Amino acid sequence: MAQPLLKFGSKPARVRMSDLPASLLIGGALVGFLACVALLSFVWTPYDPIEIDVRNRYLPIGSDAHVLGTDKFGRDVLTQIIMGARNSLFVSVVSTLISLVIGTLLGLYVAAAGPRLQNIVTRGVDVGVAIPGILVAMVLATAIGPGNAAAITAIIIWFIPVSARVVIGPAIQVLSQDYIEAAFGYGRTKLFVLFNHVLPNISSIIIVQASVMFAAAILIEASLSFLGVGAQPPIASWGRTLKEAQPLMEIAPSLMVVPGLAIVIAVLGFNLLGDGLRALYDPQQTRKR
Amino acid sequence: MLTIRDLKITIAGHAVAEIETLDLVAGQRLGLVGESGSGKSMIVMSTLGLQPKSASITGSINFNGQELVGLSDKKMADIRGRLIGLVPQDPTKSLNPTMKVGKQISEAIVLHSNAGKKWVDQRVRELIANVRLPDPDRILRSYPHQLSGGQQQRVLIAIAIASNPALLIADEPTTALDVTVQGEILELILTLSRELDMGLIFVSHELGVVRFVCDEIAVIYGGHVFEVGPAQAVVNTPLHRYTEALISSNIAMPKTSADIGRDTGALQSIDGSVPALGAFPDGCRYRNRCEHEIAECAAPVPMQTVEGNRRHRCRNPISGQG
Amino acid sequence: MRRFLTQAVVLLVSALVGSLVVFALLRLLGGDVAYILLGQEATQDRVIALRSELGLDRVWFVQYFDWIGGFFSGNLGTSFSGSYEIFDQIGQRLVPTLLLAFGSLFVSMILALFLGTYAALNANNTKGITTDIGSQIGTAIPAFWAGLILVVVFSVSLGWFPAGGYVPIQEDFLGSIHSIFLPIVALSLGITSVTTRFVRSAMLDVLNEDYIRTAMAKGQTRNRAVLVHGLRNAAIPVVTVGALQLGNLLAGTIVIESVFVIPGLGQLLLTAVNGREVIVVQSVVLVILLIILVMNFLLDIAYGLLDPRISDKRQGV
Repeated sequence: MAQPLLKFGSKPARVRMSDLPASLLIGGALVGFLACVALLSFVWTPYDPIEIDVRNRYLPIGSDAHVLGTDKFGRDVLTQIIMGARNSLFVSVVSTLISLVIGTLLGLYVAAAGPRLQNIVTRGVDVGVAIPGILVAMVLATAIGPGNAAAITAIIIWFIPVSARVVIGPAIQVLSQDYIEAAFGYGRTKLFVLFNHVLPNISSIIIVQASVMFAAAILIEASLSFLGVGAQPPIASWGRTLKEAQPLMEIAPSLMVVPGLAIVIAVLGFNLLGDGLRALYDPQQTRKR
Repeated sequence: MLTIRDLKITIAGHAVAEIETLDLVAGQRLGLVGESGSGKSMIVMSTLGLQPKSASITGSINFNGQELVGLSDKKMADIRGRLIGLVPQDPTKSLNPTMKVGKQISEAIVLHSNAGKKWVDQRVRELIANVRLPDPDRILRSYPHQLSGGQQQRVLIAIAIASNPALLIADEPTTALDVTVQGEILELILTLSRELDMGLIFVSHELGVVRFVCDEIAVIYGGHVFEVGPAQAVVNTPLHRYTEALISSNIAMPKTSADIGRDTGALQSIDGSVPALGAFPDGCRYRNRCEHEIAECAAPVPMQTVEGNRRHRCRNPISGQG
Repeated sequence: MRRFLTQAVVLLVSALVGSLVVFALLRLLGGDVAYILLGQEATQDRVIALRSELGLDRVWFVQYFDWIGGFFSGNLGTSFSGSYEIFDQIGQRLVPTLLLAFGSLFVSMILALFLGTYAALNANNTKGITTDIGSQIGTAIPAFWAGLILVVVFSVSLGWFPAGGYVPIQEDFLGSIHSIFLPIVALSLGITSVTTRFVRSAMLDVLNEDYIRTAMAKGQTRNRAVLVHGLRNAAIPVVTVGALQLGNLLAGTIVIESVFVIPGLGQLLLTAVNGREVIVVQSVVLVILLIILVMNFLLDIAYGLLDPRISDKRQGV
């Protein structure tokens, strides 16, 4: 995930809504919508997600009682989607946040360490980034069995080198600034400098990266569930819903449309949000486009 | 050969350049002098159709009977290189880093001729010799980053004269070069202009350099022509206050090409700086930095002709000159 | 040449390190495979017997070297289920996976080069903006969903392509391409979209470069100047981004094999995961790692070929 370098310490100036980049607004709206839906699911869903109603199965989209139709067990598709949203967000938020924290700490540590260590870690990180997350997940699933735990752990393991790499370069650059030397000069410890000077300056980079990682995590989670390695029944997941719809391709092709669209919207939302944030923090970078 | 009439170049609603009259006769060498931001580059780029997409142009730039303003890119492309050549400012960025130099030179030839490979190769070597580059075999095979700045600029000159254009435009060709090399490149351009009987428009911010290379000088500020006249006359007996300021802020005017680059080579500095687009004062665009401003300067200043070949637009010109 | 060899050595070392990591992960987290295979009510004796039978009671480095040795010598033994020879299966399934992966990479890179250039040249009009939006959406579409939709439309409805299965390339070249067409399209979608965005960005930078202006001053029109001079420069990010996408590519390959029922390594991995076939999983993961490393190596060479400045830097010129 090669990223152009953002300006350090850049904070968005006070801007009007209309000045904000379109990507930020659209992305923010989509993500906000997703979050609301996911949160809503804790309190209310149109139908009981596990209730089976075989008499009403395979209802098409736009039916009276079921806006998005029903699946082969007669379960309401809209409910399945809402529950799937909860699962996707849960997995992606947990795995991204944990890996960002660990990765950032790791990155900061390495940035402050000597060049020998940096070289080794950078090599290792490059290799780590190249390994597909799905592979890690499959390995874990073999070891501890399929399910959200495996998915989350795998994503974390995969994301740590990614976050570390994003942090190391900019952190090193910030550390080479004059005012950092000055800070050390009047006795600040490395730890203090890292957290009070370096971290705030690279926070914009981390935030943008987080958004992109959320998107990637949702995609991976969906892929894993599709393969059967992710969330297990009765936990609803977009990927598994699609998997279940696959053999029904000829009878009810519409069952495949909705969960896929949900994935696209979620991923698109986070990607756009990331783009928008990047544009916000560093307008020069995007002016060229 | 080249006549510019009522040329107006606008970007984002601001007038970047406004020229009522400017002429170039075949074989003549005209210098366009001004500080950064004077619009001089924009004028020559527009002549070639290479102005930024956001610029809109009205008026007339007539080249040997062909109107250039509003010409389609395709038609313009035919004229570029063949009739008008360009020597750009920064040689280190003006060559394709992933293409061998020989190929880049032959491209300039092939675009305007149907000759066979042998003839083209010969011509490339001829051009390399014309620009005084030694060891043509090595040059042909090299990539731009393997050549020095001066060598790259010679390559670009070779490219510019490849099809024997009638007019050569040099846009600050030595600004980005090492001071030790500047003199050589200027000599080369001057010599080529004479040998190949090419008209020359030489854009620069250094009066001293332009005086050495050109017959006639036009002093440009804020997109307006402030003074035009024979090179020696403009430099020795300037009429416009701005010209005067330019001259006196240059520490040592070079007398010969060997002297060029031996002065500071730095940008001449006058009090204040060139205002941003749209921030120019009404009337004379220079009046907010001029020590000799008078009341009349606030109104638009027309061009006045003095002695037939000198023109200026100053309300308070230097008296006892020209 | 020397550099070539060093890179090859680095590749092998990375692969071995990777194998060690995979092995360690599985052993450390693995719980008791034998116990899981036999089920909850298995007696201690049976568990011990199975462990011994499968060689899982040996010291870890013995198991590791036995495995690595077997991997490189062509003998990995039989699966825990006893139904197949591991090395043979991997060998058979290698070709379809490689076909899918390399095919998609190749298609994506070419498509991205042209789409990205198109988008950059038309950056300010509707054509370019549509392409830009299209590529943005394309990055959000999961490969497996693309595959499913493609099957519904082109297979079930229109009947132009098979819904799945794979015709071995040795048997029927055209038939093979026919069967692998939709899978490659599905897999290329995401990667093309991501790469297109980078190409577009690189091309926009190229458009502003002085050497494009020089080309125009020679007598090229704007579009031709960009094509002649810009393309090679834009191809460079195609290669670098391609290298970064290899992980996604192989991940997608696994998933697409599932959608289109292609008997490749991905399917093998999936069944192995479900059957807790630790050795199979280790081996397939190692193979996939090797594939990624080799592709990376090849792209690295391509990058050196495209950018003359790099090869000089590398030789210390």
